Parts: sequence; structure tokens; C-alpha cells
Amino acid sequence: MRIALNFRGQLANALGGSSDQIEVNSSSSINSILQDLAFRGGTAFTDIAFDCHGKPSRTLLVAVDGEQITDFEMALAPDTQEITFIPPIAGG
Amino acid sequence: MLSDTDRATYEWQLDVPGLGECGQEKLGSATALVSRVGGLGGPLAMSLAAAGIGKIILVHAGNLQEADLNRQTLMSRQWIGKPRVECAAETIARFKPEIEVVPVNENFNADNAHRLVSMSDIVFDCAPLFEERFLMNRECVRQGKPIIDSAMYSMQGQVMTIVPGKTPCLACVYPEIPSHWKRRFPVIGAVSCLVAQVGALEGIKLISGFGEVSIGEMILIDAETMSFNKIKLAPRRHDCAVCGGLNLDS
Repeated sequence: MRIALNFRGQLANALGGSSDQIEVNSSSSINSILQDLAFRGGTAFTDIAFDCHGKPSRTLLVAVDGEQITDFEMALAPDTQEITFIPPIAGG
Repeated sequence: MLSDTDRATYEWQLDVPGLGECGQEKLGSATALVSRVGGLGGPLAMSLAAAGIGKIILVHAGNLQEADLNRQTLMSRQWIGKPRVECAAETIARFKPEIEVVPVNENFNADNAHRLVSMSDIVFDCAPLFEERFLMNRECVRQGKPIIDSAMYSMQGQVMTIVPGKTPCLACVYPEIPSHWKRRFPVIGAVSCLVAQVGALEGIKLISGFGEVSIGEMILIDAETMSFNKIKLAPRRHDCAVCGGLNLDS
């Protein structure tokens, strides 16, 4: 299935754009998508999306079809349409 | 009860369905704390004043700098080198002299947190550092005060309304201080103003009790595409170090 990805804040800079579309399969999870994105985004991406142990950062918000999810290992529902990655920002 | 002057001042605002004299009275008797009066907090405070908040506490240390003038719309060039919080207070006082404005030339810190939050009914968090935001969140949860957390980066912004015991707090959403965040961030003043107005409106609705406050949601603003979205946040974390001990919906 094909799903839309949205990247906010510094993640958009790291990946060279604020949106993309990817092909995923029935076993794809947020974790596996993050690993794929890490190849593309390099350290600019991993510094934000992962912690120093190589695990997804606890401060990275991920919303699937408009709802935050906290289980990054769970397989995506087959009708998933959009995933939004939201790093913390504090500009004031 | 509204005075004749209040009725005249807020005549057009009182026509907004749902606000009414009752909502206006609530605004007039409320005290709002705005942490930092820069590109986001400044215009936010000004909109609170325009709406008729009774008292505004402005918290921001330091002097105005040249590089602040692309976004800090309560300032003026002749204040460069002088305390920016006093310039902000003077600008608001000139606009609405009947509103009590309290400038505090300090940033929110462990020594003043309890005192400043206890003086307020609602806190508007516009600080550029997570250390400050976390401290504010902790103190507001401790005292049961709502926070409107507004933030921006480049062409994007986000606003989250935190009601202790009812919604996720900042530490539920971000369980630790993000290590990658830097003090300096890209900003166009129009974007920080835009995000400020969303934050101000969330607070105005929460105080006056009209409209639909985005409880348990994060509002996402994208000025590049001019789109607004909301995401539904996960429920409060029971293991949250800050609010985990509060009873649900208390």
C-alpha cells in the first residue's frame, strides 16, 4: 500500500522536504519506516529521530491518520493513509 | 458586572455568539501569565489585552537587541539595550491603560516559579528553551493551572492546551528534554504572530467558557501551505513523572 508521510520542524530540513509518499507492506511499522528514513536523512535525521542508543527518540511524536501512536513496533493498519512525524519545537 | 466603559469597548466583541457579558466578565477578572514577550509571547499578550483580560504578568529577562526587531512587535528601536519586558508593558499600557500589566524582568526559573504561577489563573508558555517549558509545566501541574503551550519553528507552529489532570501534560508528550533543540531558530515575525493568535484564542475560549477548546489535541499550523490540522494526543501517561500521580479527570 502507498501512504503519505509528513515531516515537521527540523525533520523536513533533514529530509529535504516536508512530505513524501512511500510503499509499505503488511509488516511495516513506524520503526521500520524510521529505519528507512534514517538512510535518507543521515545524521541530521537520526540526531532528532533517534536516541544515543539507536532507538526512536522518546520525544518524537508520530501521528497515524491524525492520532498519536506510541507503539512504534505495531504493524500499520492496512487502511493507513498518512503518517506525520513531529519533532519537539520550542521557538518563541 | 461590566461597566458602561467595558460595554462600549467590547461592543463588537460581545456580538460574538457564545461569548456574551458573562464570558467578558470572566476575561476581565482573569490574570494571565505570559512567559517571554518575544515574537510569540508579545503579540499573544497584546491580543489578550485587546480581548479584555484583567491582568497580564509579563515574564522575560534581558535587554532588547537589534536582531529582535524582525518579530518582537511590542518593541521599538529606541529601546535597544533596555529591558524588553518594560517596553512590552509600556506598549500594552498605552493601548489599554485600564489593564493591569506587571512586567517581571526575569525568566521563569526554579526560584520564581511558585510565586509567578500562584499569581495567575492561566499560563501562556512561549519560552524558547525546553528547560523553562518543563519547569513551567511542572509548577502548573502542581498548582492545577492550565497552560497554553505555543511554539514555532521556521514556517510552522503548534499549540497545545494543557489542563492538569485532564489532558496530557508537556512531560507526557515529551518525557525528556529534547537534546537536539537549539536556542536559535529560524523565524519570520508574521509566523510567530500567527501562532500567537491561535494560542491567544485557545486561552480566551478556555477562560471565558465559550467555543471549542482543543482539549487533548495538538494544533499544527503550516504557514508555507497555509494549512491547519489537529492531531489527537495519546492519553495521559500513568508513568508521567510530572502528572502521573494526579487522579484522572480531577
